[in-house]
Amino acid sequence: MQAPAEEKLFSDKQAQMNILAFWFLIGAEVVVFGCLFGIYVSVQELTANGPGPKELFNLSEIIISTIVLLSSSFTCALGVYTLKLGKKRMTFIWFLLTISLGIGFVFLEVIEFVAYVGEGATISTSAFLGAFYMLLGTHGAHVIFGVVWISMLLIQLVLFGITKDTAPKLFIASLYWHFIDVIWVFIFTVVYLLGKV
Amino acid sequence: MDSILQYFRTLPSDIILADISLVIITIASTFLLTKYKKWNWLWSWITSTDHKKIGIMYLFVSFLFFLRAGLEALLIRMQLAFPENEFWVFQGERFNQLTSTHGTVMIFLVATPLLIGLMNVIVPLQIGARDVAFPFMNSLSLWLFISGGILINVSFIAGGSPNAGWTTYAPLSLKEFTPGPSNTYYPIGLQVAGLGTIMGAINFIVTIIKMRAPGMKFMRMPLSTWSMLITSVLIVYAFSALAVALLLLTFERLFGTVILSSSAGNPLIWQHLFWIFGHPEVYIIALPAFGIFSDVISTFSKKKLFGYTSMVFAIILIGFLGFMVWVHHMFTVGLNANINVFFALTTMLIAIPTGIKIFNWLFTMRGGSIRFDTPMLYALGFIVTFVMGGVTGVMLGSVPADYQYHDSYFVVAHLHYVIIGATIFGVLSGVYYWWPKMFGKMLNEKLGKWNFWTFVIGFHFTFFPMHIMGLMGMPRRVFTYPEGEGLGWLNFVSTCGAFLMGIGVFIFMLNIYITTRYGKSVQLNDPWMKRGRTLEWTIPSPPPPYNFARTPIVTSGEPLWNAYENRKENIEFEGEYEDIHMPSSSSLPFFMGMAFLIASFGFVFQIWWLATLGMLGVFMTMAIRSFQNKNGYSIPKKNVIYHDKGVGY
Amino acid sequence: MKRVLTFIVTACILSGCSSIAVLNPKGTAGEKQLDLLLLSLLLMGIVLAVVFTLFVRFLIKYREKPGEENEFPIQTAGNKKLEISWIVVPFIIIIVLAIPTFATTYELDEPYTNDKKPLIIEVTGEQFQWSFYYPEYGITSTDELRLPVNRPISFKLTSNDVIHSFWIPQLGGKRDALPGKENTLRLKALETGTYDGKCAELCGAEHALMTFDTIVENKTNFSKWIENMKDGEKDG
Ligand code: HEA
Ligand code: HEA
Ligand code: CUA
Ligand SMILES: [Cu+2]
Repeated sequence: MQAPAEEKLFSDKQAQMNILAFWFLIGAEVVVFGCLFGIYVSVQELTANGPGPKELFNLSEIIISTIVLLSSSFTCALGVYTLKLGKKRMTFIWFLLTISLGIGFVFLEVIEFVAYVGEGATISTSAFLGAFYMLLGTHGAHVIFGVVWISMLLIQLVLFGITKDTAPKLFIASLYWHFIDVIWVFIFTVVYLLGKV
Repeated sequence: MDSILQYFRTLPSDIILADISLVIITIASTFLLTKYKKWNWLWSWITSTDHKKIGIMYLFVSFLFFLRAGLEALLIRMQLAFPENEFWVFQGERFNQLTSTHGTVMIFLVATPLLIGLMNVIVPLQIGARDVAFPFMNSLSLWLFISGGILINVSFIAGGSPNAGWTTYAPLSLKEFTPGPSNTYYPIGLQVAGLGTIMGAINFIVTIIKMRAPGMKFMRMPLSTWSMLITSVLIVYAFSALAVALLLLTFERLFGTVILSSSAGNPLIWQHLFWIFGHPEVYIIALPAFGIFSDVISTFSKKKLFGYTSMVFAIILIGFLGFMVWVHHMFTVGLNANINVFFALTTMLIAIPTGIKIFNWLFTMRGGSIRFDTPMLYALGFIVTFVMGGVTGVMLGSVPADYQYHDSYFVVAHLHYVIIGATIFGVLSGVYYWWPKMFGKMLNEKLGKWNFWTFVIGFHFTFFPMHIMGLMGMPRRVFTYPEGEGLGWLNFVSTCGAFLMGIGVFIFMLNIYITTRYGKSVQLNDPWMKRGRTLEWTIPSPPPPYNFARTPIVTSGEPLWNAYENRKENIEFEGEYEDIHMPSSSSLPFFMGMAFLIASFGFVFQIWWLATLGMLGVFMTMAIRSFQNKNGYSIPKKNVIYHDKGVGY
Repeated sequence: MKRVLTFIVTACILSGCSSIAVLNPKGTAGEKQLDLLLLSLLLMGIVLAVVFTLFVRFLIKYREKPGEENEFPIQTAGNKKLEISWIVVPFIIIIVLAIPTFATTYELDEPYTNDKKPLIIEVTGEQFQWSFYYPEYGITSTDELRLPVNRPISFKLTSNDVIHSFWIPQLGGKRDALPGKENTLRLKALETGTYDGKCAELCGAEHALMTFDTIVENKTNFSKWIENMKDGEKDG
């Protein structure tokens, strides 16, 4: 059952164009992360005198951040659901939860990096670490950007309510958020899991 | 004060000259703008979100960059005119800077934006749209391109230009071997400009997919529009790869990563990333030109394009294959033979779809009624020149032979034959063709012919000898060559040719000046004597801000031509007149561009507070934009009717 | 056939062709590359001839004549047979070029068999000079490369700083000298003489000056040079 509000909210031509444009932007981002993964994989073994993935990573910590980020995807989906139902309050709460989880994730990541640097694993220690920080850093920057972006939209939500203007924006932001999470799944697999075996 | 004077005393004479001319140009333009009270006029252009104005600004700014890079080409040619020559200061390091910025500016700030600019004007007109899908973003693309361009261009007078070739291979481009800001300008400036290009491409894609007039199916789109659609898809993917490459280089130079270093990392990663972008890029600057030629040849032969479907198919195939050939730039780095032959095959295969296009153009002319106006002359010049460059491309694809050609003047010859033959001729053809549509005046035909012949003859004199120079063993990017190798006279001929091209460019500028100053308005929708075939010729020249007063209904691939065949003056427009909603102009893109520029300087010189300030500015403008109400303004129905019926008829 | 072509190229297009290094090879690799060059030149000549003939014909025949300004030529959308022909014929041309390209690529890539006893020379590029180390004799020479005629040679290329590219146009095509990596270039000089050697990859301010002389000598002279070098090294 589709909520009747949905058609009205997203039928606007401009909204449709925004969403289409966004899919192509995602296409561009796929290439960006694809290349970053490519770089990472090709220098993975070049650890010079620094630590390699096996010594460095602590899976249990990573699993916590993974859970945090993936649950934010879940709350984000719920936010879109309530958005389509036209429930402003619930939408606000779900998205607020989403960005809080996002901030939590960034926080955990910063702690992780600080610990690594404490062990002498800095960005210039080896090619492996350089690629690692570049990949993770780009992803982290995307999360931060998402947090800032969604906060802006939440302010608008509060000010203007669910309108033909704000609803598609939130929807697009949610697509973005899911995309970041999918990238994280790849990072988790390629960098952490495969790095450990 | 003393220290400033001291600073100027230590500068080389070319930089002093550049500084002085910069100051003079700034003062002169400020004076003129003030004297003729044109500041408001300028501001209305800067803040415009009209696709036509944005397109024209793209053209104008990239033409300025073309003059700069062309001037550099002349300096290169003067240094190389004689063996063991010492022209002015352009030896060694300085020469490398010349070559590098000549290539970089020409590819990124001339070829790409010239085509984007032209297409910005034309594509919405060809599909019967009132504007692009995202007018604001369109303006932002422009300003990002301009700020990136400014950054690359001022490098010359502020700390030194990039000097590792337009390809900027690591490890030469790393801090270890080229300290100072020189090669930092490259990744930062191109990153900013590239961001604008990606946004522009997405804009084109959405515009073409979503904003076509009713009845304009995909297979009814003019070839210019088709090629721009495919090009935009290429841009989205190729420029993203470039973005990563540039990010990587930025990290290497600013944040101390060692991924590209030869001891701890692998410098070849740069080459792969760069060419994964770089080869699609050469088709990005060729395909739109192919589109322009398709329209021009068909118009001036009074013939339907031969093999429309196969033309579309060929563009798609070229775009697709373009991503699978990048290693042909790396045949000599010592990859294994299997890889080399695979890429040799894919490289050669591109000749097939390109050949399809060449023969279709030829057969479009067969049975037609050909006129030789300047746009057509350029199209014909293109066929000859590009085929010559294309076949040398296929020769380069033959791996073992490429061991000889690679990094020699043979490659320089190839690249100018294809790029100037396709892109520059294409833009000139398109500019002559659509000039009356853009400005309502025809460019002077007589000067146009002078422009064409001097430019083309100069071109072949400049670049044909380079094939032979390459085979004689002259490597590229050398500032000198020894006396007794027989290279002297060829280089001299080439230098003379370059000056002839310069005369051609000069005549072009003269033509624009004379036309603007003295030319008569054409007052016609289709100034090309009833040869127009597509929608852009159904509306006034120049078009009103909203392009189409009423929506055109499209029932075939060449609606206007079909109307002519039925002895009608114009196509039918349907629907009622109504109030037309227009996007409002905005100064935010300009400020965002400037904020990026400030941030970029911060990064280049590693002044972190400045970089932070700039980035804050960027986010501020973004936030403002997010909150802005985007109502735009409305043109009332009665004005539209008055304008549509009262003017131009 | 090859002779004829060589002759044509030499005589008609570029008289005094001996100064065109690539067309006048004195090494095995260079010869094979010349064969490919000539083959591709021939094929491309055919392509150019076809295109230019059609081009000129159509331009002359179908130009607008006075009085035709308002006529409507017949509009043709395409022609299946023609369109297929210009897919098939170029395809054939490409196959004809691709096969020898493949063969030669593999051939040049093939390591020497043991009975050939190649002379190994370790070449190191460096801003801005070349050094040549002969492990067989334990000597090093700078910016001057001496080779025995008719003996297979295996260059082991590497670099101390940035990327350089080792090129002796008359003996054969180039190969990059990469830092931290070793590349191999194999060829045999067929005639004695002095040939120019260059650096083909932009490597910094003096890239243009990073040249070297290649002197190909007969066995006795080469041995003499080796002895001299050894003595020199002892003295120094
Ligand atoms: C507009 C830009 C443009 C275009 C369209 C092309 C088109 C082609 N290029 Fe070119 N190329 C460059 C720009 C371009 N190139 C640049 C800038 C460089 C140098 C980069 C640098 O190092 O700085 C370069 C370098 C370059 C190299 C690397 C050389 C080296 O450094 O060693 C190679 C190698 O294979 C190559 C091949 C080709 C081929 C096969 C095509 C093909 O697409 C051409 C196809 C066209 C035809 C073949 C003609 C028409 C066809 C027919 C009439 C049909 C019949 C033909 C046959 C059967 C052959 N190019
Ligand atoms: C769009 C692409 C483009 C265009 C149009 C050109 C145009 C020209 N190019 Fe360039 N070129 C490249 C792209 C292009 N080039 C690239 C990518 C490289 C490789 C770079 C590298 O190796 O990294 C290269 C390299 C290159 C070299 C090799 C340098 C070297 O390896 O050392 C040479 C040498 O002659 C050369 C010459 C020329 C000449 C004479 C023109 C002429 O056509 C220029 C014609 C224009 C003019 C003559 C300008 C006239 C204007 C005036 C006179 C106005 C005066 C100024 C003011 C009023 C301010 N180019
Ligand atoms: Cu060494 Cu160029
Ligand atoms: Cu290429």
